[in-house]
Amino acid sequence: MRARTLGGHDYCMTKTSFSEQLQAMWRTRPVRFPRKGPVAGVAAGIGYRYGVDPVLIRIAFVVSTIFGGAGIVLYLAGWLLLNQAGDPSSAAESLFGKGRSSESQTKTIVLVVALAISVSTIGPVGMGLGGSGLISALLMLGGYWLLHQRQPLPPPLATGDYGSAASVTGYPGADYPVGQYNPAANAYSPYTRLPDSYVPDPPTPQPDPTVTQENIETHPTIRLTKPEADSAPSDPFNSLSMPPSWDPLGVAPFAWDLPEPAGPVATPVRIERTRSRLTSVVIGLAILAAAGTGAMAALGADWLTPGRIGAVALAVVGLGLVIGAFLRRGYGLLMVTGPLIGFVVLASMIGPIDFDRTTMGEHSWKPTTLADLQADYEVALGSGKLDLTSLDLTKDATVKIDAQLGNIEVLLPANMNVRKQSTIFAGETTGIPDGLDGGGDGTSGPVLTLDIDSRFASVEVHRG
Amino acid sequence: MAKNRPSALLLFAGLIALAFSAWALAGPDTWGAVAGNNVGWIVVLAAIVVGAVLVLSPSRR
Repeated sequence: MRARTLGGHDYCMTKTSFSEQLQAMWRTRPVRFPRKGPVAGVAAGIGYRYGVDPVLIRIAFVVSTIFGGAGIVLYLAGWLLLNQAGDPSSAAESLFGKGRSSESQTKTIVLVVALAISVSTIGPVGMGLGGSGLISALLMLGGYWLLHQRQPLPPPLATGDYGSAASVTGYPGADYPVGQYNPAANAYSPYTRLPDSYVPDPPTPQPDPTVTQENIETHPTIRLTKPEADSAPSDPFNSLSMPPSWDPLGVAPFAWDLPEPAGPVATPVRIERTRSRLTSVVIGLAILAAAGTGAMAALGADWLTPGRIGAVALAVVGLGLVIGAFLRRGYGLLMVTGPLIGFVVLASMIGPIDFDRTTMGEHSWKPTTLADLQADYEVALGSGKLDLTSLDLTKDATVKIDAQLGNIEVLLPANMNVRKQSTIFAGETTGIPDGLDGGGDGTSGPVLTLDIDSRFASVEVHRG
Repeated sequence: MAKNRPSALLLFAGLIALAFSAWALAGPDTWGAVAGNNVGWIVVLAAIVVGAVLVLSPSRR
């Protein structure tokens, strides 16, 4: 805390260029706390580094994901570029052979692919959704810059999160004295209290067998000698020493250079997250079930539509979730459940798309006699035009128009009697309204019934 | 004891997934007639289930 406020004061006093600020932002970038966050701990790390509630950071990520999708891009970038707490390098660096990271290479490659996909949906120049992706990304980065201005120096990390012994702070590239030991504390200042009596130094102790080289490396800030007293900063009065936490009343200034009590420091509590194989087993079973039903569908079971194949996989996942609820594991299945439910619902609503038939692409029909008129006109993933202007309607007829994910335009002659019936799911039918329409000459004579089924499609019926 | 109770979130998600799966397996078109005639009964059944779960669920302590 002390180092931060003092350092922040100094930092604001000196004018730094923007590029220096960017370098400082990169040097003192946050670390991720995967155990403190729901996904990868990016928001938790940013929140801790800049002294903000991580919930606010998460809200910013979610909002910018909704408005333009920048949040997911920035989150994935943070996942790749920020070190996990305790790692000497980030996932992206370790992928290119620089340093070591806790993330597996496979996971890193998946992350890179996901990042590329999310960037490509925003667009190469950020013009997706009317440029809102670019704007929200700029807003997020601007907010990050403001956070850095607010708190340029990072707070100390917990001991368990220290990276290598070379880095005092655990932040990559940011070595500064903090907390436990400050060289300036040895310097003479108005607050220095002289001891009441001088006693000769005890004889140099024999090398303690417990102080091994390993111990020294694990506590890099402990200096058993005092060479720093001579090399104190030139301005010792600017960094006045404050009592350490074990001496809140400040009664023992001569011992402030001693390290913090090693009791809680020596035993960093690391709660190992129990890795359960339930998630991967259930997902594997679901994929196998989908493959099995897919094979049955390919062998000729017409009843097995893509929606039903997805539903079989969803049933397996659902059973796994219920089992996992009682075993209290398998939370990873939740990530699969939402998209799978969405797929099953959409696939069931649209119905099976028959790729074998010539229902895709552009179509144009122009029947002239009742013999030419088919009973069924169908379009999937395409557009069709049914021109009935030259049809000679001599008796009542019914035409079924089935449109999935496309559009059909129906052209009627001016005087034909038409009864239009529409079944719509997430689509629209425009033109003449449902019901009997006689055109210009009343409703006497034969009637053509249009039975329209529109799923994610638009059907326009008008008189040409 | 709280450690041994089933996770409500996972249980709820699992039941939702099973419900959607059953709905899709039966075919979305078959539900139109059922729902059209029996919306009231479906609501009554859902209310009974929710009420029973709230009544019968063990207390936290």
